[in-house]
Formats: sequence, C-alpha cells, structure tokens
Amino acid sequence: MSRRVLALLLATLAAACATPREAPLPMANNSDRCADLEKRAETEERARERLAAALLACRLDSVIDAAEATRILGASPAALDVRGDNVVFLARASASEVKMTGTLTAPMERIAKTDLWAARFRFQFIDYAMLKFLPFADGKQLAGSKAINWRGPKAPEQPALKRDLKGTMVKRTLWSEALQETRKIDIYLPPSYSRRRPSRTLHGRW
Amino acid sequence: MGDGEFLEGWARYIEPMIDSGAIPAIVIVGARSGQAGIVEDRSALGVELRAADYLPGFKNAGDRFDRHMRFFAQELVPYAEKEFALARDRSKRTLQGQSNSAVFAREAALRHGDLFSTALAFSGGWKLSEHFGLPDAQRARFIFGAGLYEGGFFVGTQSAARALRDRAFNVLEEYLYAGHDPDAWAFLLVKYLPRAFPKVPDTGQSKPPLPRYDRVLLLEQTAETSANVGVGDFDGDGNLDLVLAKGRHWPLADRILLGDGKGRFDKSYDLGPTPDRSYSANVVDLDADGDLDIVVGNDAPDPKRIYLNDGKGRFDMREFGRPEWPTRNTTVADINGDGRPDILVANRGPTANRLCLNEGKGRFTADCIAVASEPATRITPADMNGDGLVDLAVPHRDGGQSHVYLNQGSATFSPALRIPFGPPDAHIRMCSIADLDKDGRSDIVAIDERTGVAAYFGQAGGAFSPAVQIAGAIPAPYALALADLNADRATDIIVGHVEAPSTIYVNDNTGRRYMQHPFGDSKGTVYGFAIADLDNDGLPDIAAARSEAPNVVYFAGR
Repeated sequence: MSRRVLALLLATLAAACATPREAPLPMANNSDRCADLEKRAETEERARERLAAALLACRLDSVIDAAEATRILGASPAALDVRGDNVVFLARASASEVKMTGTLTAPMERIAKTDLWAARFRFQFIDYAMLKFLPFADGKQLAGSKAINWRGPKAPEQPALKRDLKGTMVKRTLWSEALQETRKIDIYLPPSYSRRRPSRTLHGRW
Repeated sequence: MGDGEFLEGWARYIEPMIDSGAIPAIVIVGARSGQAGIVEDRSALGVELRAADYLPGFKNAGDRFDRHMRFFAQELVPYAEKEFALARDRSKRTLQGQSNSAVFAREAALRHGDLFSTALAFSGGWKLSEHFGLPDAQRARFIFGAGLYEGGFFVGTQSAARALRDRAFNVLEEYLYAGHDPDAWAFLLVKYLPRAFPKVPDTGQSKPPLPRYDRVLLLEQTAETSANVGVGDFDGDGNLDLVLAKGRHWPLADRILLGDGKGRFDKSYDLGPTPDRSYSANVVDLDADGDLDIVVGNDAPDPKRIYLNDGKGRFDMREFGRPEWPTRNTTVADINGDGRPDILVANRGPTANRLCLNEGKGRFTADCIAVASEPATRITPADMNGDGLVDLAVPHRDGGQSHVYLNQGSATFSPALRIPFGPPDAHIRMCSIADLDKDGRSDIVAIDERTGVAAYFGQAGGAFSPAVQIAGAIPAPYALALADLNADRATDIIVGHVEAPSTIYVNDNTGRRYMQHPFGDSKGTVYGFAIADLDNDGLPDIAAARSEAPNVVYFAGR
C-alpha cells in the first residue's frame, strides 16, 4: 500500500470515527463535473462505511508467546481464546502459510521459530457475537481440525435442528433451453405433502 | 455453499418449524449452483459459474446471468409447479439465498415480484441493479440480514436495503454480530420464515388486526386544491419525504415536505419555480443516477414536467409532452422493456392518451405515442396476462367501455388486442391492479363515481368477470389505493370520498368479502393516496391529498 493511499485511508478512518456522514461537497455548474463529484462522493461514502464496518472486528498485533499459545492449544490443532473483547485465534501447523476462515478470513502470523500460528482481533459487542474459526494450512483444511464455534452470553441461540427428516428429499435434473445445459434440482417435500393440495414454496438458491 | 446438499441442511431447520406449527407445510426447491449443479462439463466457458449465474454484471460472464434468470423464472418455476402441484399464488412463494445466492434471490424478487412475494437475502454484497419498474401490487418485500463482522457483505446488504427502502419498497433488516456464517443464516431463516409464510393465514385464525388510523397530522394549515401525493427519500437522509401535487385547474406550486423518519414534516419548499395545474406526482429514478426524480402531470395549458433530483432534494425542471393535452394523471412504468421508466399520460377529452418513452438521462421522446383513445383520468400499467410485458388498464371516464390494452412488445398497443372490462357506460375515475383472490391472475379494482367500487376478476383466457360490487356510489368514491394494511398477505382496498370519511375495505383473503373500516374526517375531497411507513414503526401510514381540506397523514397505530 502506498504512503498516499495509506494517508487517505487513515484520514477517512478518522472521519468515519468522528462523523459518519459525508461533508458537503463543492458545487459546480458543469454537469459532467457534477457527475464526477457525485461518483466520487458515493465512492468515498462507501469507503467510509467499509472502514466503519472494519472497526467492528479490528485486527491487533498478535502479541502472544509460544508457551502461552501451547498452553491454550493443549492437544488441539486449533483453538480460540476470548479475553474481554480480544480474541486470539491459534493453530498448530507445519506449513508455509496458515489462514483463518469462519467469521473472518485473514492470514495468521507464525510465532517465531515455532509451528504455532496466531491472529488477534478486537470485536465490538462480543457478548452478542457468534464466532466461528476453521484454519487452513497451505490451502487445505488443517488436518485434524474442525470448526470451532463460540457464542457470547447474549448471542442468539442456535435454532432447533432435526437430524432425521420425516419429509422426503427428491433429486431431479431439468434441461434448460435458456442455458443449453442440464441442471440438477433438489426438492424437499414435507411429511404432509400431497399432490392434491397445493403447497407453499420456498425457492432456495444454493 | 455451492451444491444442493445445503437444501437438506436447511430442511433440518425448517421441518421442526412445520412440526411446531410455526409455519405451514412448505416445499423447498433448490437448483444446485456452479459446475456441481450442471450435468454437462462447462469448464470450457472459463468463468466461475456460480458467480456468473448469480451476480448481474459479473466479469467475463456475458449474458449468463440473464439466461440463468430466465431458466429460474420461466423454466424451473413452471416445472416445479407442474411436477409437484405447487401453489401458483405469489403470496405463497418466497425466495431465499445467502452470499452470492442472496444477490440472486434479491434480483429475482426485483424482476419477478409477480412470481414471488418475499425475498430472504442474507449476506449478499453485490451492487443492487435498477429494476424498480413493477407496479406496487407486484412488488416483493425484502428481508435482509448479514453479519456485522463480514465487511463488504454487510455494507453491500445495508446499501441494497437502503436503496430499496428509499424507493418505498417494504424492507426488513437484521444484522447479527457474526461473520459470513451459516449459523447466522440459519438463525435469520428460522426467525423470518414465519414472516414469509404466516401461520394459517387462509383460515383467519391468526389474522393480524388492522392498525388504527386515528393519529392525524395536518401537512398544511390551508385548504387548497391538491390532487395527489407521492412518497420517497428525496434528500438522501434515509427518511421518507412527500411531494404534493397541487393545482388541478388552478395554478399552485407543488410542495416537497421533508420527513424526519419520526412522522414529522417540518421542512418544506416548492418543488419548482412555476405554479401549475398539477394532478399527479410520480416518484421514480428517471435518469438512473440513483436518486428519486418526480414526474408531474399538469392540465392544459401548462407544460408537463419532470424534476430531476441532484440527490439532495434540489430539482432541475424539464418539460415533456405537449402543454395543450388535458392531462389528468401520469403513471410510470417500463413499457418497452429497456429498463428505463416511461411515462403514461392520461388525457381526458378528445386527445388520445400518450406514452412518452424514456431515452435515458431523463430525456423523453419528443413525439409521445398515442396509446388509447378512451378519455381517462388514470392509466394503470401492469402485466395482466403474465407474459412479462407491461399492459395498460385504461378505464373510461366519460360513459364508455374500459379496456385492458395488451402490450404486443416494444410498447406496441392496438385496439385489435384489447380486452374489455366493466360496463359499456363506465365513468371510472381510476383503477388499480392486484391479485385480490390469490388465484395467480391479476384483478382490477375500479371506482366509478356513478356506481361505486367494484372488482373485476381475471379469468382463464384473459377476460374479466362481471362487476363484483364492493361499495356503492354514496358517498362518491374519488381516490383509490391498494395495499396490505393488516399484513395478512391479502390486498386491501382504500377509498377516498367526497365529503365523507375514507374507508379501508379489509380483504378476508377471498377477494370477494370485505370488512369496512372508515377513517379520517368528512372534510373536502380525497383525490389521491400514498401508503408507506412514514414514521418507521413498521406499520403502513396513509397520506391523503385533498381539495377543499388540508392535506393530511393518518398514522397507523395499535
């Protein structure tokens, strides 16, 4: 990132913290110039919104030593540690690159001279947060790991989930004239489904 | 994401809702995405297929999005209807998606509100496209959700929700402290699916009550000759504002009233520098610059005018059409299918009604097209026969036969392809279109000052039923609007009168039986309504433009 772009981002970030709305722009009579200014205003407004959104989950220096990381990880390949509004994401991987996915997608930093990796974030309103963490090492899901879910004490509850469906799953294919290809279709029919009674439909796109 | 196995995952959340009675039994139809959703090998296309199918304007995707939309609306939906005997009523259909598929659900709802009543779109960050031309009765409502920690997906979702709300769409939003996370989408799905599929709406067992309309705000202190009111966010502050079309046969300045989102309209100013004889003010983005402009229909000898917004509520006045037309109303819709809103001019008298095509950037064809000869005080655009083209309902104002003119494509209309509705000697002031009886066909509600309020139901083959009388001609009906005021997914009818309270006719879901609820006072004559949530309490408020009485807002309350 160039110094000039960085300065612009910092200035915009400061503006976003102080006043989330854009300042009045100079007026011009030339319509093309007006259009340019409007486009620029829209772009800058969007940049401010993005930066304000980024502040909700803000990256910090990892600042964790190997001993502490090892203690938190125990025998697990991945872990997260919540302290106040700070969350440290940890992984153990012999890899050249480790990336965290889940709530956030971001590179993790190697703790010097170890196979331990870390990333620290500050989350606003963490009591309400639903966090998910799954590390990828060299582009593949970290061996032996599975998604780690964490919910703050005020986070929404997980909805009821039914393991054994009574309804019917149907798989079909459909030739599309519009696309000139055959598409695969999945249909769920509820337990009370009957062809003789029209049903409501949820057209889900997956 | 990316294949149909997600459908089964969502079914595991949805079936417990059906079991518990939180929602009625529903069928879920999902088309798998990307190469995993296609039998043939499409790798030669060299594009990421999921994004190409779901995102309008995705790079190097050509017309793939449009073709996929056609597949979805014109092939998959009819296939599912036939194969599984699914309901054809839009109020019983909802779209759902997350991430890129949320973008597709949103865009499909914008384009095919005639097929779907609701879109549940979670974490779709792609820019909203400009497809706002469907008539009010065919507008889907949107339920948006996203995670506050997911950056651009959150910002994009919020931006789309704001843009739709600015255009008076029905929009709900909820943002969770979460990332791009299926757990968050599951929570939102379970929370909002009952909004899309209300519990047992057909039996009336859980019928929501009609709001009370007893909180009144006078918009002005004086009684003048106003004829209509429009609603939209003109100054870009996120709150809905009003535009009053004033004058009728006597020149007056049209007025902009800026809302504060709490039901107050303390700031106001003249729309343009010139008083004129206005009958209507349509709110629409004419020049595709992202803000709302205004079309004003003026009676002769005044020019017909458009006001282009600078995004801050300041307007640049232009003219279109001919000053000598005896114009009584204008309506706006994309008639020729080029994505730009065109203007329909209803002329009462020997002058034919006109269609003025939008050439882009707010410029209109110099010679507007004569489209129907009936003297009319409003033309209502709607796709009446489900062919994707906007047709015209032209009610006869002065003792003649009313017709629906079918669009033959490219904005071509002909007396040879028109369908009569109503009596041969109608005096209809205006009509509106909706599927009152939920049979999948468009119905017409008309107010005739000599015979009253009547519905004409769409029938197989395209004809309309004889009149089903809803109310008589005393008091004389002068204004008409259709909206679902009690959130029961059935279209209600709102009628304004001459020197009598207005009336809400609450549809019992059959379209043929209505419960009357009068509201407002008996002063003056109501000429036009606008219905929107003006105070952000989640309930639809009613703005009424009146002559010989001050203009007014009736706020909905419980």
